[in-house]
Amino acid sequence: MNGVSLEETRVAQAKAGRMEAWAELYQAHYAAIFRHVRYLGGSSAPVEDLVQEVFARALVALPGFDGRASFSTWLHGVAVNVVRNHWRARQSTETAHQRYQDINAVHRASASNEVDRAHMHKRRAEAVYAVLEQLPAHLREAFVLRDLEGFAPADAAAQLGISPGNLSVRASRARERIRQELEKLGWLSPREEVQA
Amino acid sequence: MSADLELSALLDDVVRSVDEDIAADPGCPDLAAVIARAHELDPQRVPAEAVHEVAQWAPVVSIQQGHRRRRTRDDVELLAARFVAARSATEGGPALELTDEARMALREHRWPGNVRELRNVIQRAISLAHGSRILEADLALHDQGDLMAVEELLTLPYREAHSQLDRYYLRRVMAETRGNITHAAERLGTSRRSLRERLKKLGLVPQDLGPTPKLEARMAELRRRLAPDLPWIRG
Repeated sequence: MNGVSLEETRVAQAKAGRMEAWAELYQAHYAAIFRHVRYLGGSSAPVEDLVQEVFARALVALPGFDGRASFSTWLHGVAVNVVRNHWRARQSTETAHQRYQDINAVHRASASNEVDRAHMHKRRAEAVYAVLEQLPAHLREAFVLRDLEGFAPADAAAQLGISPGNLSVRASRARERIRQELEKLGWLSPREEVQA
Repeated sequence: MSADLELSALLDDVVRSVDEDIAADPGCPDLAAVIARAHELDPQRVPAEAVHEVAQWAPVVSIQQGHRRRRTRDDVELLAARFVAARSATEGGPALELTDEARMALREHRWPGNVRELRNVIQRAISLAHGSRILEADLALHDQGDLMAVEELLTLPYREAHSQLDRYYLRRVMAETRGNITHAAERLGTSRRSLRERLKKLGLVPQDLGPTPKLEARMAELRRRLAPDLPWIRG
């Protein structure tokens, strides 16, 4: 409990304009936010740049932080919004479908050549993100927070500003769509009992 | 393999790829760039204290506004000179300057913290300096990853000695695997999770893992003396 109250003190000091306190919060949460942004944004996202944007936005928005959620949950929520904007901008400047096709092409090439394991693992991770990119943002975020990052339903829901029940429904729908797409692309074997 | 296991294996690859990126990340960049960016978003809502700090760091911040995020050694020297000048100006005493040796030591030192850490070192050095020159000794920089002399190590309780050696040993493995925790864990025959926890416990962060030649020499000496009794340092 001490850790929590210490953090609350730091947050209050930072809200009062004390930069030492803000610097401590920044250092304490940097790694977690880096991880969060990396998961949400995928390997092709400019993670460092987005993390910097998260903390800049949080610094500006800090006076409005009311303490209803923990500082960490709030900060993760800011990160969700920053990455969401990034996806939006990216989709308007590049063709997501083209990247999806590229990954599929690489997969076929990889399957015919012997590539080293590490490279293959990377390709598989890229394939998952290529599929994720095809999903609507609300499904993608629910899936990343629950299935990749492993947040508890209540925490993930608080970050997205939705109910835990709603989150579970979104994550489950996302999982099903991802599975279907990965099957279509040949990254997963087709299920036998799909029809029913 | 069942569809669930296959999907789970694919997601494991995602987790692995994120872990690798995180292990390769050199850590927390300077806060100054964040403050400068916040100021661009909404200058009214950035605390005055922060604005003051950014103004002090302006030349470096402007360089860091792009995608470059690590300080170069030139930046460190430039910042140090600015801190010295600013301090001399506010205190009104004789103008201070860093000796060549001190500047070199600042350039060579690893700076795992942010700019604040450098400023603290300079402030301390100014208070320790005699006359108008800041000597290398005034900076009181010491390599925190350094390994103490063997005799000194042997005087410590076992647990402490183990930690000292462990810190050195893991720094070296992490440096050799370029900060890749997955590869380091494979080499050490342990799990990524255990290794990460151990690194965290020892206060080792990815950007602070490179051994110096001096440390290499000390480690070689230590190996000669202690290897038969210390299984954790066997190759």
